[in-house]
Amino acid sequence: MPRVPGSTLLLTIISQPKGLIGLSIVVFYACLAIFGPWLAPHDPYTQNFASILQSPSTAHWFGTDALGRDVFSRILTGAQTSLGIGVGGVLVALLIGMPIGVLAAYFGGRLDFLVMRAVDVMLSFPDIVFALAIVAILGASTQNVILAVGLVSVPVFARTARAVTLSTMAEPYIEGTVSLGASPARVVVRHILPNIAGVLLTLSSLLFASTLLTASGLGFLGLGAQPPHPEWGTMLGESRSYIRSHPYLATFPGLFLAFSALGFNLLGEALRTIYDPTSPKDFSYRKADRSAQGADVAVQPAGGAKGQHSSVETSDVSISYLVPTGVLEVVRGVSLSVEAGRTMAVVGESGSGKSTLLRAIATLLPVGRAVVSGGSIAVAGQRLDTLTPDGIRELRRRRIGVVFQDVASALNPVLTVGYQLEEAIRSGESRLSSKDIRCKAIALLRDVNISDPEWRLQMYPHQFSGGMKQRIVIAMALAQNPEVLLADEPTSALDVTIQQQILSLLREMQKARGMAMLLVTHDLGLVARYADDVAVMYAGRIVEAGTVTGVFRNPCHPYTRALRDSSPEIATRAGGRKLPAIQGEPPNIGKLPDGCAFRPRCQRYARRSICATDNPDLRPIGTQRAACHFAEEALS
Amino acid sequence: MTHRDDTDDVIVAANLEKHFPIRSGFLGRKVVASVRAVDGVSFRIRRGSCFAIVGESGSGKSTLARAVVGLIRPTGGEVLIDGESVSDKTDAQLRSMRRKVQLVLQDPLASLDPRMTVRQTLREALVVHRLRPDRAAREARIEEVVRQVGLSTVHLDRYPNALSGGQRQRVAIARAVVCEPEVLVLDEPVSALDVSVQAQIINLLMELQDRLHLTYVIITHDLSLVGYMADDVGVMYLGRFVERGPAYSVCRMPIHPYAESLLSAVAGVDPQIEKSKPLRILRGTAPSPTALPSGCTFHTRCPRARAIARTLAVDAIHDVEGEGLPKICVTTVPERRRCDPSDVEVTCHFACGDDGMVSVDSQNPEIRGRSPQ
Repeated sequence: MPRVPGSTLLLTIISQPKGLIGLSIVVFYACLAIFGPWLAPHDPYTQNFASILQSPSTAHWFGTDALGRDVFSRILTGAQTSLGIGVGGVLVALLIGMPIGVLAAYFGGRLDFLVMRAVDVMLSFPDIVFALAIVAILGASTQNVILAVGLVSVPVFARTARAVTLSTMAEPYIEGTVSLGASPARVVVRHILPNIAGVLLTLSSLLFASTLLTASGLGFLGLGAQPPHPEWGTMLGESRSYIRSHPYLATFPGLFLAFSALGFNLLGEALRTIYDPTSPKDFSYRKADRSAQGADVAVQPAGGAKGQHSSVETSDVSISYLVPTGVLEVVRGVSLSVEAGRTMAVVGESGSGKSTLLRAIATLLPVGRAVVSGGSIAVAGQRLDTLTPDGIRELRRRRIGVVFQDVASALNPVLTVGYQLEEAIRSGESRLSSKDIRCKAIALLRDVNISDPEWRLQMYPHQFSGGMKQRIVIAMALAQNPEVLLADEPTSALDVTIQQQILSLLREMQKARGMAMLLVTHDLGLVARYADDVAVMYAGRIVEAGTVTGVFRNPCHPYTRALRDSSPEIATRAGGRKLPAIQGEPPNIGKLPDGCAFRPRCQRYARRSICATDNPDLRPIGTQRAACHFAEEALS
Repeated sequence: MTHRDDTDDVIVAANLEKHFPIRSGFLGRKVVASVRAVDGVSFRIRRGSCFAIVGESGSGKSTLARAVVGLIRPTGGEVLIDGESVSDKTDAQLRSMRRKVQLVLQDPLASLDPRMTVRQTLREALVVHRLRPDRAAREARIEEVVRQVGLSTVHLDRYPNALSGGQRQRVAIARAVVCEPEVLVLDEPVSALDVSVQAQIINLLMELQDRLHLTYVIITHDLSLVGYMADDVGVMYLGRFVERGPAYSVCRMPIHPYAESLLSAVAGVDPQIEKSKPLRILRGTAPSPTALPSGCTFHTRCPRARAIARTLAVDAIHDVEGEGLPKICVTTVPERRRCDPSDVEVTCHFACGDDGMVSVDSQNPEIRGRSPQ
C-alpha cells in the first residue's frame, strides 16, 4: 500500500485534473449545503397560486413549481437534505460495514466465513429493491431513507474493509507490533485502521454518488423526504407529471444531482490513483520530458566504430527518470563494453543505477518515465537511438535475452509453460512448423536441466518452484539464441543452494553459446565466482572497472576496497573484532555532494580540496580503470 | 522466579512441533494433510550467547523462531523462556512475556508502521508494556535508545519513508531493545540491506549484545553471517535439525551433506580461490513439507548417498533417475548422533568417519563437485 502522509494528500489530489475538478465540485456542494438556506431568495415553502408553473425568469431563476414555490430556493434549501442523506448513508455503511469487515479479517475462521456468506446474500439483491423493502418496513422518512441507503452499502464496505485488512495484516509491521506484545485492540486501532483509512475514504467518495442516486430514487418514488420539505429526489418525483409541459422542473434538480455525483466520483477516482497501487499514475512530466530532450541535443553523438564491435557498448550514457519535480539523473555518464564470450558483472548498491543501466541496454526503460538523456548505447553493433520501433523489437527478439529477479511475474500464470516457451520461439522464426517448435522447446528445457521436458511443457507456472521457474525464464531468454544475455539479480529471490544451480547454469550457457552476459548483482561473492569482468557503480557512475581478478585483488577505488573488506569471512567468530564497515549511508540520488560522490564516506579523502570540487574521471590505473583522484595511493 | 547466574539457559525447546493442518471439504472441516513446518526440534540457548537457525525457504526456520517467541502456539513439545513454559500461558500473559523476547524482522521498511514517526514507534513499545509511565522518563529512555543504535534525536520525528534502509533497521532494533528485553530474535537482520550497510548493522548488533547482555537467535540462510556472529548453530532441513553444534565447527567443517552444500554456496571475494574451489551444487529442490520423503528426508537430493552407493558395496535402491542410494537412507529415519571428538550432533546415516564417508568423499570426483569455470 502506498504511503501518503496526510499533509501532502491535498496537494496530490489537486495536482491531478480529476482531483482538482472533483474537489472543487465537492467543496461547492458543501458550501451549498451549509449556506443554501440563507442564499435562497424566496421562502421555499411559501405557496403562491398566482404564479404556478412559471418558466425561468429574472424573478424566479429556475421557475416555479405546481404550487408556485420558487424552484431555485427549493434547490438551495434542499441541498442540505439531499447531501445529508448521501453523507449519512455513507456514514451508516462505513460505521457498520467497516467493523464487520475488519473483525472478520482479524479473527478469521468461522466468524469470517459466516459474515462473508451473509454479505454475499445481501449483495445478491439489487440495491434499490433492498432499500425499498427497508423503507417500506420502517416507513417513509428522511432518517429511514438514510438507514436504508446506508444498509444497502454495508456489504460493499464490509468486503472492502476485509480485503484491505487482510493485506495490511500480511505486512510485517503488524507482526512486529504483535511480537512487541500489543493487544489485538491496539493492533487494530493504532495500526490497521490508519492504514486502511485511505482505501475506505476512496470507497466512501465513490459510494457517495451511488448512495445519493439511490436516495433520490426513493424520493422519486415518494418514499424519501416527505413534502413539503424540499429534497432533490422528491422534487424530481413531483415534477414527473409536468415533464412534457414544463421540462425545466425536472431539469434543474436533475442537473444538481448529476453534478454532485460527478464531483464525488471524480474525487474518488483521484483518491484511488493515490491509494490503489495498481492504478496508473500520470505525472505531469511533459515539462521534464522537454528538458531531458534538451540534454540529449547537447551531447554530441558518440562515435560508434563500424566493423569490429563489442556485444554491448555504452558510451557516456546518462539515464534520467522523469519525476513530478523534474528530471532525476540516475545514471551519469557510463561507458562500458562487454565482449562476446565474457561475463561482465555490474556491482552496486540500491540507487547506484545498475538496474536502470541494464534496462536501458535491454531497451526496456519504462516509456514516458525514463529516458536515455545522453550518450549512446549499442547492442550487437546497432546503436539503439538510430533504430526504428520495429528495429528495436527485432533487436529485442533476436539479439537480447533478459532474465529478471522477479521470477513469479515473468511468466503468465494462466498459460502453460509450453505455450509461453513456444511463443518465444515462434516470435523469431515464424516459418518453423509447430512440430519443430515443440522439439526446440523440449531441447531448450533439456539445456536448462529440466527433466521430463515433454511432460513439463503441459504444466502451469504455479506448479513449478522458484528455481524451476527461473530455469524456464532462462530457456525463454535463450529461445532466439541471443548474442547478449542480460541478467538483473537473477538469483536474489532464490534459496542459496538454488542460486548456485542457476548461476552455474547461466555461466555454462553463456560459455557454450559464446554469448556476452551482463550480470547485475550486489553480491560480491557471486561476482568473484561467476564473472570475468566487473564494473563497480556508485551514485550512477562507474567508480572502478577491470577484470574480476584485478579489481578484487587490488582494488584502487576506496569504495571497492571497503566493499570487499566489509563482507564477513566465514568461520571467524568476531571476538570483539569489528567488521570494517563503510561509514554513512548510500548516496541519495538528486542530493549528491559536489565533487566526488563518495567523498562523505571516503576514508582516503582527508579533506583534500580536489575531492570536494572535481568529480574524478574514470582513468586507467595499472590494469584496470578507477575514478578516484588518489587511486595511485592503493598501489603504493 | 529464582535467581539465575549468567551461564544458564534462557531458552529451552524440547521436541518442539508445529504442524499446520490443510483443510478441505465443506466449511473446511476435513483435515486432509498437515504441513510439518517444525517436526521435533530440541535445543538450549545459553544466556548471552548467539544461536543461529540456518535453512532455506520452507525449512521451517521462521516458524520455529515464531514458536520460540510465542507468536505461534506449538502443536507439540514445549518452549521454556527463563524456565517458564510458553504453552500454558494465556494470551494476555504471553503478551507481557513478549517484553523479554523481541523480534527484529528482515525488511525494515515493511516492519515499521508507515504512519508512525520514529518517536511514536518507540513510545508505543513502552506504552504497551507500561514501562516508564512518567512522560519525561519515557522521552529520556527513547532518546537514550536512539543514541544507542547510532541515530540522533533529529531522526525521532521522521517517518520511516524519510529514512534510509540502514537507519530504518536501526529503528527496528531500537524498537526491539527499548523495553529492555533479554532475547532478540533476528529474522534475516541484514539480508534486505545494502552491502555497505550490512557491516554497520552487524557491528551494531554485536556491540549491543555485549553492552546489554542480550541473547540472540538469528534466523538466516547465510553461513558467513553465522560464522561471524553465532556461538551455536542448528541447520534445518524440512522442519528438523540435520546438524547442530558450535558454530566454529559447523561453519568450518560441516558433517551433514546438506550443511556442506550450504557452506559451499558461500562465496568469498577472492576470485582466484572462488573460481578454483569445488562447488557442491545440490540437485533439485527441497520436497514439499506436506509430503516428506521416507527415511532420511534429504535422500532425494543427497550427493553423498549416491556416491556411497556407487563406490561401496551397500544394499541399494534406485531413484527415479536410475541412480542407486543406500537402502537405509530411503527406509530408515537417521537418529541424532554425535561424532567424536566434536560436539556436533548430526542426523545422517553416513556421518562419522567410521562408516567410510571420508574415503568416499576423497575418491569420488562427483562428490568433489565441479568448478564454476
